[in-house]
Parts: sequence; structure tokens; C-alpha cells
Amino acid sequence: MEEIALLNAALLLIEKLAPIVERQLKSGEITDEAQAEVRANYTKFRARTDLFSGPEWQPETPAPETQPPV
Amino acid sequence: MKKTLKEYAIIIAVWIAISGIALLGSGCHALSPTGVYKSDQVIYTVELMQPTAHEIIGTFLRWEMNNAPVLKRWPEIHKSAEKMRNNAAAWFQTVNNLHDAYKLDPSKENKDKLSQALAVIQAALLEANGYMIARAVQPKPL
Repeated sequence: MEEIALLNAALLLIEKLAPIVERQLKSGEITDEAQAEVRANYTKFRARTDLFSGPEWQPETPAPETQPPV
Repeated sequence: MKKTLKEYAIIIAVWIAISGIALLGSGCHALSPTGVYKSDQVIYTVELMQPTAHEIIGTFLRWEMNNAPVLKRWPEIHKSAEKMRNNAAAWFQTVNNLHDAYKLDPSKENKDKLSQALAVIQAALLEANGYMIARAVQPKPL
């Protein structure tokens, strides 16, 4: 049962991402529309303030020293 | 025809690798020159990679958290997840800062710094992808 849960989680991720990735690998030219979509996604990403606030992002043991961003 | 899990994993690994090569200026993506990126492969790659990388790493961390009892058999997975939890925010912030610096001054020096920062995230992506695939195709410990 547990093994199936693990398998399903991995499958979900891969199946979700693979078609997007495959499309990008196959496309000869990235159209204006596709570029606009990437820019819009990134703009939304930069505006988010909750990127690392979910429980999955919280370390069990915080590192004693974390490298500051450049 | 439906692809196998292994094929999907390879596709994603290839994409991660190619995205890195693209940043170095020899990628295979051809940007339409009339698009918002004006053929700037570097900025395009970073802006594509950042949200995607966050999604993949977040999924890996959720998977690790939700399956912690089962995954105890592979302590290296928890160790890797904890490393990402402790450092990912700084990794992403660094890339964003260097992205902004490169946009203002697209010098070789800024491009090299950006490539190095992105390489750290790419390594984490490959690690996350690799662990999930390894456990999915080989669920029993050796």
C-alpha cells in the first residue's frame, strides 16, 4: 500500500511536467505567445510572498548557517 | 502512445540539462525575435526555470513529508530534502537578484554569475527528480 502511494506521487509529478517539457524540447521556435506566457508566469512567481511558507518547506532542523543571497 | 515513467524521467532530466546549456548560449530553443524576450536566451531560460524549479522542488518536499515513515529506509532522501528546505529560498533569491543584475547589465561577468547560481538549482532539481524516480521504479530496498 505504502509503495503504491510513493509510486503514485512520483507518477503524478512526472506526468504533469513531462508534456510541458516535451513540447518545449520539440518546438523549433518559441512563439511570441509562448514567450508572453513564460513572462506572465515569472511575473506572478516574483510577486508571490508565500513561495516558501507551506509546511513542506519548513526544515525539521534549521541549518546553523545559511548562505545569504547575493 | 503513452510513455513509460522512465521515459518521462529522461525527458525531464534532458530538459533540465538543456536549459543549463541554453543559458551558456548554445541551446536549441529559438526565440521568435518579436517576442517579449527579444531573442534574449538567458533571461528567457531563467524566467522559465524559476517557477518550474520551484514547482518540482516543492512537489519533492511534499512527497518526502507525506511519505516520511516509508522513506526512512532511505535517509539520504530526508537529508537532501532538509538541505533544500534550509537553502532553497536563498538559492531562488540569488537567481532572481542576478537575473535583475543581468537585465541591467548583460555582461559576461553577470551571465557567468547567473549561470553558476542557476546550476545550484539545476543540481537540486536533478536530485529531486532522481530520488522520486528511483523510488518509483525500484520501490523495494536492495
